[in-house]
Amino acid sequence: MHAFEKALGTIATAAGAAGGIALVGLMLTTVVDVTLRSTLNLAFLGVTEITELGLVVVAICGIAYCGWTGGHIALELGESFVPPAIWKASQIVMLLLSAVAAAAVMFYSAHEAVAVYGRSARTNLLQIAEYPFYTIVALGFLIYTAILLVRACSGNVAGEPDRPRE
Amino acid sequence: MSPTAAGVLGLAALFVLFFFRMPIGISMLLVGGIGFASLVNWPAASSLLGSEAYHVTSNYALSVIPLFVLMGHFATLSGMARDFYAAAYAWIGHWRGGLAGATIAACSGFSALSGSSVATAATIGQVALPEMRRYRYNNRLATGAVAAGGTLGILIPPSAGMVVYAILTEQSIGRLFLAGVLPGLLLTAMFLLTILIVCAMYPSYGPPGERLLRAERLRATLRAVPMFAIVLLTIGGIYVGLFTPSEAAAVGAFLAMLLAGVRGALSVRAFFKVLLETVRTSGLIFLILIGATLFSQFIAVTQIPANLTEFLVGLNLPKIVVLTIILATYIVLGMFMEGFAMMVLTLPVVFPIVTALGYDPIWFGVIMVIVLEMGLISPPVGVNVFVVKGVAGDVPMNEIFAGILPFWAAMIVTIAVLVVLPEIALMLPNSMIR
Repeated sequence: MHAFEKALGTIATAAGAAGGIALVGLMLTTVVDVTLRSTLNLAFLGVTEITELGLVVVAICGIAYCGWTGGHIALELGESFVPPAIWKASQIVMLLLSAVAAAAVMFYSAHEAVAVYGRSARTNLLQIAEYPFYTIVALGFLIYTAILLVRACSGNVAGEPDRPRE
Repeated sequence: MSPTAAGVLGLAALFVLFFFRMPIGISMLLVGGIGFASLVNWPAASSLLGSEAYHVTSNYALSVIPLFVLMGHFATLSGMARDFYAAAYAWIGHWRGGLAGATIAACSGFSALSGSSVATAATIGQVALPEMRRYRYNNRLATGAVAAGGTLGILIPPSAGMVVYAILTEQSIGRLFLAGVLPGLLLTAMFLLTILIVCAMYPSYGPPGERLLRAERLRATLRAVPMFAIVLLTIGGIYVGLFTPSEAAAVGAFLAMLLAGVRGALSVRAFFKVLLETVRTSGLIFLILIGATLFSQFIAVTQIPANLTEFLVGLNLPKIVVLTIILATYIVLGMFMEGFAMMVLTLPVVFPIVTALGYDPIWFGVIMVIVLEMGLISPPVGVNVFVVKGVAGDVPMNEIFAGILPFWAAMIVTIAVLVVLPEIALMLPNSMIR
């Protein structure tokens, strides 16, 4: 379990880094577009489509990485009202329920990716195939589901990794 | 079971999941998905589950979130917070309460580079709190000023709260950003006035700092010029129609990155740390947005918003009474709920009521954000208070909350002013160049 958790941490951090690199790409693309437009009156065709697809990578990788670092916002309401043993058990149930929800998004996104591939759906201007990005959504939620399941199995209900995050 | 009863049951289930600390985004996703399936059908719900995550994360308008977060991180890295504080201190630090005033001014300036209240409070707090304690400022005034000043982060654009509001209510992000400018400055002025009043009542709370020479003042101001330039370019660019908010965010992030590089603060390690932090923050916002989208679809089919609106309008209460009830509810909710959660949970129900009463949706967005700010510094779960506690560990929580009270009252006054004079919020968006 520990080796699997370690590997999962590496994958989630790699996803975070990939999202970061995609974000830098978005930033630079937009800066070039704005510069070309305002100085040479030239249009950078398809920059909106590139931004939209790049944002999928940033956001989905972010969800997976944030899940690994225990960063998803939750309210600290119940812990002081519930006996510790019951609280810990309830947290494992919450992690499992969360995993079910994340797995549902993963499964139906993968299903949608197949359907989109079948329809050969592409963006309007640059004609970029959309199915890889649905696949990225499915993969991101797959990583998040795995993180939730590992936490539930290991009893790490605090949602923080055991070792340095970066 | 009627759709409305199913909706009430769904809301109750959501609160139970919140109580047991399930992440907000996942809670809404779960309840929204199951609720939608039970009221419509499973194929429709599965279609939503399969497509909404993609549709939300490929929304061009939302690219403003990671880009402005990135700008805020680069701004922090380049030491802009310190420069803002130094510039403000140079001019007003020698007044009684001047260091607290400089803290508020620095928060206000840094807020124009960062869309996060927590980041603003943490960054300015690390610079300002040690200075105020060196000059023997009263702990209440010092910590209250940092916690309250930090809340300006989500009112003065760019603001993550406003982006989420804009997406949930289908309003223009650019107009909302501009609507936050004057109320942000008004609230800054209110906070400064609060410090003056507190120091007039208790002179020992805010001893004057060292008076700087004119040359030192000018040097401090010059060092802050690049930040003022970035703020002017991004917010001004949106106002004059030069940029979309996303483009402004990208240009601002790029310039802040360049500045951090020029100042030698941008090592490879620091660069990747900034990227990971930005991606992490973006991820938590996007998960909430995905959940909120599904939950909104569920709430829409329950007809709760329509029924509640019909009921409230049918009561024929003066609309100011309904607004007061809504705001009072938000203030109480803000004491217990995280701001984003409160917004995504309540807006599908409250927004139709507010618009049916004839209130401007952009104006209400500003009011909503100020109410969220109040939640950030309200006991028992005010996040900014914990941030301040992290910097000033030896100050008891009750001291910090006591210090916040006058600023909290200033926020109430600001809301009252905006209710009476909504033009303060609407003047800039109504005059922007399209």
